Amino acid sequence: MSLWIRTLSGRRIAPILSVAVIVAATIFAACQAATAGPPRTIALETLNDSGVTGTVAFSDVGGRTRVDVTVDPADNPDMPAHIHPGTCDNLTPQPKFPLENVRNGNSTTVVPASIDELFAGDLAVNIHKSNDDLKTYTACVDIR
Amino acid sequence: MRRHPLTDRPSRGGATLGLALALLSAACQSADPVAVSAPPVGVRIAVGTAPGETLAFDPAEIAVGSVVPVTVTFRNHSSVAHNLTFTDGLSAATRTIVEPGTFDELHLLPPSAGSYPFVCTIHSEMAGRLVVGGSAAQGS
Repeated sequence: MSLWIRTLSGRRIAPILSVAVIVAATIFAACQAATAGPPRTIALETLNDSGVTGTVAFSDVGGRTRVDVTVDPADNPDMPAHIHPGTCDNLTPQPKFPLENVRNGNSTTVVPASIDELFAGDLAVNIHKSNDDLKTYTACVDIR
Repeated sequence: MRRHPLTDRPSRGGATLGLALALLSAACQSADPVAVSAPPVGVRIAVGTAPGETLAFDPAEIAVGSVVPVTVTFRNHSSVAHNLTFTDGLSAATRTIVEPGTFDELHLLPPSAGSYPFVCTIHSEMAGRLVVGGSAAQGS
């Protein structure tokens, strides 16, 4: 019995190589699946006539959550962004989870909490105007 | 005569396996870009944070005697994430999220003598300043 495996193009490859490729492909697929949970997306509300609109998407990454913030216009300077306890109407100043600054309209952060924990209530995503004007909020959304 | 592919000629299998491992590595890596820059020769200053949950830089005021390149090492001794971000006159900042027990370095060249404020953009009440040409805690 031949130990060689014939590919679709008719070429033969050694069994040990075939196993290596199959294992690598399986792990590759698993890694992709770990970051490909269906996102839950909510829309930011504009604050203080900033004109800033956008969305926040939450995706499962193995029990933690990838938070993707997208805002328009995208040409703002660095915009600090955080997940705060409370609601947009009554925000606790101390953030629970810092997010990467929004740069060129985008920010991506993996936070150490599950989507269910984030959506359990009493948390909000808040976007600040800039590093040197943290007190001005440009957009916010309650996570629910 | 059949020659063994793994011992008798350049291994096509090795190349394929390398490609598979490269794909695997790419799939599992973070997408965050890594900025690498050579630090300039200059004054080194260490800034930390107070331990625990106290929201303060330590020291809050740092200084260099003249306009020279400065390397600031920011070490987070706190139990929560912080950063060090200059807000006026200097465009320089550590990573946005410097986790507890970690550090980051930033390299800057003040444009002139003066006072340059910095904050933690996660905790806006955390503030400090770099004095150039002043006399506060001097770097070495």
